[in-house]
Amino acid sequence: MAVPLSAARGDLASVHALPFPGDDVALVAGLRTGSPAAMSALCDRYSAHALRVLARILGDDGELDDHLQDVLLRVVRSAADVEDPSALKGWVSIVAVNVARTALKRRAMRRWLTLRPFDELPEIAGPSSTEEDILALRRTYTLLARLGVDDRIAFTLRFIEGMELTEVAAACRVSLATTKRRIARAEERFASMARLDPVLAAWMEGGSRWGAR
Amino acid sequence: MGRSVNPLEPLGRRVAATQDRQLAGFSLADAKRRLLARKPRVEWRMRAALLAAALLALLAVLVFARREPPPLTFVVASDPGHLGEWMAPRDSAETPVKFSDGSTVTLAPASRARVASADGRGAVVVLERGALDAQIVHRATTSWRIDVGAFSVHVTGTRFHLSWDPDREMLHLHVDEGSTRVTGPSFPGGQAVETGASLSLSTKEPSAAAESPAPPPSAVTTVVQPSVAPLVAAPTATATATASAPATAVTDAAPAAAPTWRELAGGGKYKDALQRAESDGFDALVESLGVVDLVTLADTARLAGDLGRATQVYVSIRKRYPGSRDAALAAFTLGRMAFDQRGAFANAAHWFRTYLAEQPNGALAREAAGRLIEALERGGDPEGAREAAAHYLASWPSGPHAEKARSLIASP
Repeated sequence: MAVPLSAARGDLASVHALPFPGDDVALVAGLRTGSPAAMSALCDRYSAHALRVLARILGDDGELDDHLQDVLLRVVRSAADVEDPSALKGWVSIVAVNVARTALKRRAMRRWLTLRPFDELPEIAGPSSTEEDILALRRTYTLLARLGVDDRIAFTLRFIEGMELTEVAAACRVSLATTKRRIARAEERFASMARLDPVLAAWMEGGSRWGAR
Repeated sequence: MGRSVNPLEPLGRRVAATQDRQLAGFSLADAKRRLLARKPRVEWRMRAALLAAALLALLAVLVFARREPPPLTFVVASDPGHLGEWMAPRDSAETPVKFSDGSTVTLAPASRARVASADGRGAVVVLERGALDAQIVHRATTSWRIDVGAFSVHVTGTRFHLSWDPDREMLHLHVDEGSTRVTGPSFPGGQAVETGASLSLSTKEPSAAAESPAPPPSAVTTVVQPSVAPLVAAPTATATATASAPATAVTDAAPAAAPTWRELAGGGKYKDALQRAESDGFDALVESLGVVDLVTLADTARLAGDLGRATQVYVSIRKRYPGSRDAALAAFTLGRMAFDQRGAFANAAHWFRTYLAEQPNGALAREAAGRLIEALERGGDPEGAREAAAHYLASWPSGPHAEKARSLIASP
């Protein structure tokens, strides 16, 4: 039986943490008691997923680390509200979507106030990405910025993160019907913009259902 | 028969893969360390108590420490003055207007003025015509303003003489003591005028001025302190219907044997001024001049047609004086140059947005917002233009770009 660590906060970096032995139900129980081991396990198990959800929705964002921290903290603090501890991953998705939605709305407010110098477009890391990949990524998020927030979230979770419709609905906390409507609307709008986009038009040429428009 | 492929799926997968490569460099270990290093949350009751105590302290400060002084009162000659009431001295008599803070504004014969408003820190006086001499008592919070035509003279404690001819639209200011700042069309950022300096301005276009009797040259002088650059004309390419005509400096100051670049610019000889600045060492000037002179140098280069040099100086203003009103105005001017002279609409949109970010309530906010719509539309971003149009109408439903904005929103 594992003995929970009792090291003071701030000293954990110098102590080897034992792996948290329990499943997500035990992990949530640990979070509810403020267990550092549980928090550590939360990071190990789900921070990558939270980061991906944030990145899919937000695209290139200079504050991803802060948003991730926000997600993890909210998950810790809301442990008591988790209805189904065995579905902790889904709860992490919900929290990540909420954090991303708030960030998008703040960004929309600041959109007219962007301070990004004109000739300093965001540099994209990833030396192994081809120029074509980078352009496709940039143009995709440029077009996504023109969608409504909810439509954009549904679209990115479906087409970029690859979630099933039911997962998208659960993460967004809306009905499956609403999710389908949002995705359909976003899909149509994105596709019509992409067909006119110098970079993305080539991607849109495949598929008989969309190519004929 | 194969299923038709939604092209968004392979695109989405490619985007996800590219993103994942970017995220590979992200440090999740740091995220864990940050989370685990957080201090324990203060118990909510304690937080509520601390917040309540802080609010009580703030309230005490507001109530007891910050007592707003009562609004100024004034006497016109020997009669109590009334806000908004015109004061028009007889032709042969000066009229003193004495304020309760000890300040005095003396109206010259045949002048017409009124005190538009007054508070504990000062008053706003509108000079419709004629001249006045002002002695404004300086205190820590003194804030006076004299409005003349499209201009405003901002005062914090000063002795000065001010005249305004509405027919010729000519302003003359001489500061005996202290400092003032003049704002108005073409230089909303303001022009400082300090002890011993004078400033003369006319908003009449040269062709319009020629139609009316011009004042004898000797009647109008501009004396320039070494640190105060003369005004230069800054015509706007797309002046709005309600904007005043640009200001032009009126000067007959006899040039010295070797006029400085400032003097040449003050005389409207922009190409000569720029040439002189080049021979003085343009780059060194850009590094060493104060902001007032930098603005003059930038305007000079722009009016001389050298966009490269103008851009250099405007960018330098932004770097050396970040967050200032001059930096924001530089952004606006860069936007205008990009739009009007280069046809670089996306770049123009960026600069108009920058201005709006830094001066959302600035003097040029409406114009920047309107020009942003145009820049986005011309730059091939109809969606962006429509959103900009919606924002414009929310703030300026009757503005000069309102009709344009509505037609954009209504178009398919």
